Amino acid sequence: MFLALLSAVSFPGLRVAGPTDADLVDRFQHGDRRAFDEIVRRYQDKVYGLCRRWLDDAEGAEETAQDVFIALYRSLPGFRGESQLSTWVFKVTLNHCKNHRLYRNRRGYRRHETIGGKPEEDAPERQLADDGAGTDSAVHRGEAEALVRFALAQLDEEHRQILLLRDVEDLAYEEIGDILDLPRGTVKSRIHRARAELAAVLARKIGREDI
Amino acid sequence: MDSFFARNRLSAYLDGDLPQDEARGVEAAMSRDPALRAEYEELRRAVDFLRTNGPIAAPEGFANRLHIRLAAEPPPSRLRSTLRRVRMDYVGIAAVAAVALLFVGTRHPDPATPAPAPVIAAAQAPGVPDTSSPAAVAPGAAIDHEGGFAAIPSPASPPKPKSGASASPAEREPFQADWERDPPAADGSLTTGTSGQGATQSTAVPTLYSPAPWRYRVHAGGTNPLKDLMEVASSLGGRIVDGKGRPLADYPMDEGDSQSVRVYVPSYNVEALQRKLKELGTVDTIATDPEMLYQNGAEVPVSIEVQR
Repeated sequence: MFLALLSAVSFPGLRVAGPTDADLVDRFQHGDRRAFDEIVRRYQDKVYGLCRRWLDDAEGAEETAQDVFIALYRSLPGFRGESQLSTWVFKVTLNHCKNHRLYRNRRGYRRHETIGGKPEEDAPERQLADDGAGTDSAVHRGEAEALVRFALAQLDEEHRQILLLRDVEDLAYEEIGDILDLPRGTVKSRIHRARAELAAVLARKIGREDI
Repeated sequence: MDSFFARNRLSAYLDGDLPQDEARGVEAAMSRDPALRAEYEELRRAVDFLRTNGPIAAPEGFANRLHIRLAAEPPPSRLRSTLRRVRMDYVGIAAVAAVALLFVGTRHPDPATPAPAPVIAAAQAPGVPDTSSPAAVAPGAAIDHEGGFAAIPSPASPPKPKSGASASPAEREPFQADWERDPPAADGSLTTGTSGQGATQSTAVPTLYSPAPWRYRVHAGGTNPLKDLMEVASSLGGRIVDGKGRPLADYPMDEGDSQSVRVYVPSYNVEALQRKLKELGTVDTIATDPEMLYQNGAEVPVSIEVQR
């Protein structure tokens, strides 16, 4: 109990690490189901956030994110630790997102067209510039959210995917390379191109000085 | 470092991923070139914007709703998890090995004995030559009953249908795979076909028994790609069986699962099946022998490995 408290609290100058992912996997593999609760707590925002950004559909994102955790729950006993848990989690999440989108596309779901095709409904035209101030002070959360959705919808899938992993999930180049099965150099160059595309999209939308 | 090289390093510079000397080179280039500096600032603001506004937290109650679903799950089991990850490829290896053993064990000692019907291997396995691939087998060749290669009958002499008089059941018995010896029930009879898309009606379509020249690996989406495949097969006047020729019951597939199936369609619908498979998901292996598509409207077995 005391250790658990310690692991949850960090003191200035004294960093007490909680259980590592490997510890949690090990505990779960030895029958401690609470370890899985901790894994869920640790990854739920990341998994849900990635699904939400990828699918741009709150309901589908929750369903997909839950499917990801169900798949992890079933597969974790056989996880051999050949990669980091986080790498595996993101890999499974991306696969589920792609499958979900294929599934709904086959059934005629075209929400992403609404985002990209009718930006005026979702994204504020020139509103950021009209406020006459920087992003941090002027953009309301809802407007920024609409702008993020708009910008991501404009990117091609490869670029959107890699930006979500790098700049939203804050993963290192190496981990992104493991997730996408890409060499480090390719990851770097693709991130560079994706960011340039994002910057161009934002500049077209709200003006270069108002991003 | 000139502006061109510096421009290509702006993203890495932003991430602090450049060696010191290159980082200094980028800074020097930016101090010389205001346009490059502006480009960097634009990139930095875009990335900051995404980092600040990109992450989305899971909605309230997410974990509770997940726990409700998890409560319906059986306790985690290493064995079940391992079995779930056994790839059908390995099952395929075992199946091919079994067929090979069957050949060895039942090889006819008398060379004068009439050749029995060819056998279709139950599944393709890695490392085993793909008899459907032009790279692995010369065009127009098929595995014969001795395990060697024999010429596929030319279009002028179509392959023998199952109901043909090529060999008596007793002669064929030792060389037939389980699914061929024990066909599905009458309503899914191996020799009965129905109408296909844009196809002529046929009540007694002969089944083409030669190694299926069409093999696909379909990476399908959705939770139940088998059900989708069944609908595709049905729409083309075909039917779907498992690796042993038994009627297949669809079931939701987990991520990473795969299932080998065989779809029987009238030969004139094989191309339509190709198109439908592409709609179903990503088809990454296609091996076809177009010459065989139009032979007498025979019912053609198409091997498909569905992966989710």
